[in-house]
Amino acid sequence: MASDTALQHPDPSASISRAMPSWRKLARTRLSGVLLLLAMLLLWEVSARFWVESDNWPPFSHVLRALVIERQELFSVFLSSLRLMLTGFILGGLAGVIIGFATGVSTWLRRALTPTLEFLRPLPVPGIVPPLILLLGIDDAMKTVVVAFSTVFPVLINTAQGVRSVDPTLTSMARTFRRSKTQTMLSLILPASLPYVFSGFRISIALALIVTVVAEMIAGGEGIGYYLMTMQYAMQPEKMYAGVILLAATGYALNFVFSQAERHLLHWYRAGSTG
Amino acid sequence: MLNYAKAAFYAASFAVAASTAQAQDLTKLRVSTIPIIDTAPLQVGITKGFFAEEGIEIDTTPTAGGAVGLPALASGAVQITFSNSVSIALGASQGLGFKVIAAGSFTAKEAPDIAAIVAKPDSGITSGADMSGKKIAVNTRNNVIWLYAKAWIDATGGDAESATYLEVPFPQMLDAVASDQVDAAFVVDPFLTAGVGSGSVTMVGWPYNTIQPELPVGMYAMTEQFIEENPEVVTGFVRAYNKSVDWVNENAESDEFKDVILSYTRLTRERLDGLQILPFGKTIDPAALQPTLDLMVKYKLLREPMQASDMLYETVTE
Repeated sequence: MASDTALQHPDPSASISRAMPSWRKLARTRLSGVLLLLAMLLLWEVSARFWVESDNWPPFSHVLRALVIERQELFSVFLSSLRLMLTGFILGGLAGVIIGFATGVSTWLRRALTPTLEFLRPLPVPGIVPPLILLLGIDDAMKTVVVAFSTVFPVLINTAQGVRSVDPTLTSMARTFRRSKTQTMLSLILPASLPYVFSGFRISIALALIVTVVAEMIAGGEGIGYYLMTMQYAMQPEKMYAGVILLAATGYALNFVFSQAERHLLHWYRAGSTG
Repeated sequence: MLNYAKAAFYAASFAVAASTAQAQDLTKLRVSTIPIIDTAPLQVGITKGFFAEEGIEIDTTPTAGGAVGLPALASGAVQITFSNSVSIALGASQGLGFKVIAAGSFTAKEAPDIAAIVAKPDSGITSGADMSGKKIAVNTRNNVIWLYAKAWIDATGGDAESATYLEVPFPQMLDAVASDQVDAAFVVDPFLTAGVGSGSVTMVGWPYNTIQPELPVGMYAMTEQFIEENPEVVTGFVRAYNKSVDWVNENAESDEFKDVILSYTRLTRERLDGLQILPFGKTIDPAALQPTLDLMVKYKLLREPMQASDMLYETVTE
């Protein structure tokens, strides 16, 4: 975000930078983030080669090599995980929007559902997997439900908050113009709460990735979670870390995709809030 | 058509076993496995077609930690689960109807075993007597590793209750010992061989051997209900599995066998070559399993005594 503002206001930062020492100039650019990352990777390489004596801490260069050697398998492993994640995310996201919208609009529904939702929300994934196995087995159905379960709450809470945040003057104006309830919802409340819905999605997509991996670790068979576990037990940590690196990159990419989508779909919101 | 004719010809040539086999309608069995050497005969049976000869198609669902195998068996999501004696006995005692139908893995007849208590070379720990107030890593509480860690401490002059048991997954145990987060660990291969080989830990004791040689640890369980409804499938599975055991024991040094292990465990060849592969068994003597159940009573995993013979189905005892 810092780099975004720097790009939007090039003139002030440029004039300040002339008076600043070079390292502070550097700290203001996008390059500083990359440099920190490179420094940490270098630390990884050096620590694995000279300090840490453990079979579980391979040098980063070995991890990169494993990434190249294993690329085909990693591709199919990630594909299967991403499919699972997206199915769960879409189901959970839809449910979150629908329930969130309903509880945001109706006080009665909010009162009826809140205790149950607040009770379910803090349940950890490893805790709900064993009972879900009894109901849904150990295949994709169970894992999809687990992912959907963890996805639903951030979307739901954000959506409900978005609905409630709609300016009351606007809703009374809609009434003044004799808009029907459905019209008001579709043309006012829904678009007004979209920015909230989207930030719920963004939280959820990261969560969905994590939960997919955890579910696959517990009830394995395939996917990235199972791959990570297998490589740990096979004492091939460089391959495990290759999976971890790819996982981090995937998370980064997903977030990027979402912020781009948000920028395009909700340009009016950004423009409105900054201007 | 030619292929069917070929298949029929080959099927006919497998005298007794093949009489029930039909290429078109194989009985599908889902088996929950753990990708470790202990499940090698099952994989061999699949690769070499021994199960297909019995008209059975095996669909394995591996779980790396083995945590979901028994819940999956209880729910009917799988028909067979490879698990350890203690976890199966716990499930059986809770009325889940688990029965052991085939033998899996046994510990060594004599040391060195494939599982051991390890500690830092300068720890000063040499027996259970030194474990008072110490921390020991076990992979899961209330399972076979935890049980035998306790039994070992008591059997070698210590007091099992005076030590603390911490859950550490097998892959992290050596690091936990090296960084002094635990004083000792009950670790299994390949981590045991790797740790001892690198000199980061030394062997302190062989809990399984100390209590009893050739202990049955890993085994295949089914539910009573499934056995009652499908007795022929059960005997067919066990016949094929036992054939695989014979093959494995005869070809333990062969490349063909090692390739099977490498393919599903994902171990490297160098790592595998350094490991001891113990012979596999086909039957479990109730008298060999009974001490484990008695220990479970002693360490309060079971409230009431349990008879090993009640847990073992006829296919694994005869």
